[in-house]
Amino acid sequence: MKSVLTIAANTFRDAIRQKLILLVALIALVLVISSKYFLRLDLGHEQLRFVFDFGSGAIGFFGSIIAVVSTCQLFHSEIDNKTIVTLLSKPVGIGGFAFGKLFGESGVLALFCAIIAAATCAMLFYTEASFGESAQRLSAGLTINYSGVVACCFIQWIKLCCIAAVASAVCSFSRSLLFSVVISFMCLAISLMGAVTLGLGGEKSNFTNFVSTIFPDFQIFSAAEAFAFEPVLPEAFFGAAGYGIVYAAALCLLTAWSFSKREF
Amino acid sequence: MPSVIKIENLRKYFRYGIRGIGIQAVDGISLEVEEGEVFGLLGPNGAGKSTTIKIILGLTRPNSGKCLLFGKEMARQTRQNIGYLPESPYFYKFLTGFELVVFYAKLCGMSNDSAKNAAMKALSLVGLDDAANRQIGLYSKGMVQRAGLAQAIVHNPKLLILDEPASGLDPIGASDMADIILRLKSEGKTVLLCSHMMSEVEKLCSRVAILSKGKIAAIGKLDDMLTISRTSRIDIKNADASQLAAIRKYAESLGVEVSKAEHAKVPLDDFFRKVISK
Repeated sequence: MKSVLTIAANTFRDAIRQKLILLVALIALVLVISSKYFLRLDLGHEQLRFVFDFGSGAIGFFGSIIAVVSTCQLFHSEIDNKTIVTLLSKPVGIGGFAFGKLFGESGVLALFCAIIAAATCAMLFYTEASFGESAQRLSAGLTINYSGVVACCFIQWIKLCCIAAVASAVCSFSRSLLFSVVISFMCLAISLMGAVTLGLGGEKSNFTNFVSTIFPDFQIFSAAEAFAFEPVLPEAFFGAAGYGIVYAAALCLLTAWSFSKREF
Repeated sequence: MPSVIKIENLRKYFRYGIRGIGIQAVDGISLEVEEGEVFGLLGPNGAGKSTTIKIILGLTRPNSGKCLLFGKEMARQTRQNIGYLPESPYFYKFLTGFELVVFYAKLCGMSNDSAKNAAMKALSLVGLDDAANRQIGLYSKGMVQRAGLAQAIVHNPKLLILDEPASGLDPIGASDMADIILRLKSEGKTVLLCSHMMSEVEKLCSRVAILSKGKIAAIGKLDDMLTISRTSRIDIKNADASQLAAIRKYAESLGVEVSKAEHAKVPLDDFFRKVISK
């Protein structure tokens, strides 16, 4: 376990130095902070919900990019630079390597989610404060549940960890960074399409059940978005968190198994 | 002497492409490395040296044959006793030399404090203590090589596997590296040295195996290999040409100082080329 944490800490340091990740995170942060400006474009939505959706969307969209690109980059840089050979010559199992890498990546995603969540809460507070006693808020009829916002961002983080786990599983058999990134984004697209289909009222079929078993079922995570303005439902929260943790752990085991079949 | 590494009839072939064309990288290699010796593994590019090393380290699985380390099959904990310096090592550029060695020490199960102490000691041994707090990205190739050796020895392993340790080093750096290896040998460490630098091998190794096309072309004590049979050489000091002529005639009766007399040797480079060209 100690070696796993050592690799995770090193991976975290490696990841936060990647300029692309910093750029994506910065864009997400700027967008969330400027959500107040984008309100001018909104012609019908409630302002608070708009700001929250902006923050939640930033975590989902930019977080997915970071989860896929960063995970693929971190695994492939180890393989391509052959640092993995030096690493595995120490008493570190391939499972320890895979889990360490994913833990490190999860740390980066947690930091990203925490920053965007903090910015979203700040913007929600600012937007709410700017209402004063105006009737706009009353007509919207919304009350912000800040702990719910945090819970929602936590579930979003779990979702991003699942995406990172999928990317790591792809990296375990892929020979090139580009292939890994493309395949991982394809998996992400399939999951998103499944969630959108069911979200629009599509019926579950054997095929959609199969897809949601193999790929992360985003429909489970999307239930957490209601937490921002409603009480947090324990069954929905723990259901989504439990599903995500089990899915990510299973994918990580698959990654370790796949890597163990590989020769360096 | 007990064997630290024992390889028996090791075979490894790689398949590539859709048709699965195979390449025989290692073809029936058998060798033993004894405790406390510096054993040289030589061969041209593609001879199977690196594959053999990877099999020893458990990074690659052989198709057949046996590889024992300290008398046992390779297990994760066995790596606690192994230090490995890869050829042309590449490390995390954002870490300093000190942080890098501490990182690898921790991977070997050392506590934070003992890892830091061991890292400073290892960096000092390889002559990097002055640059310990500089980022690896700012190191020269020779310094990276030294940092690589430091990470290999930081956990005080019994066996060191060094793949081209003098690669990229200038002659002085290479000589320093050879001195460090000799010092490690004097501390009782077993060293498996893979190198293209014949002078380095000649200076350091007691026994060598020369690989060619995946097979052992020659193996044994270096002295035995390089000795030209039925030929002797006498090194003579303080003798001028006339004395030399006399010495030739009356070597045992003239009383001139004969400082050294041993079998004449062929340079390792020549021997190496001869073995490989077979």
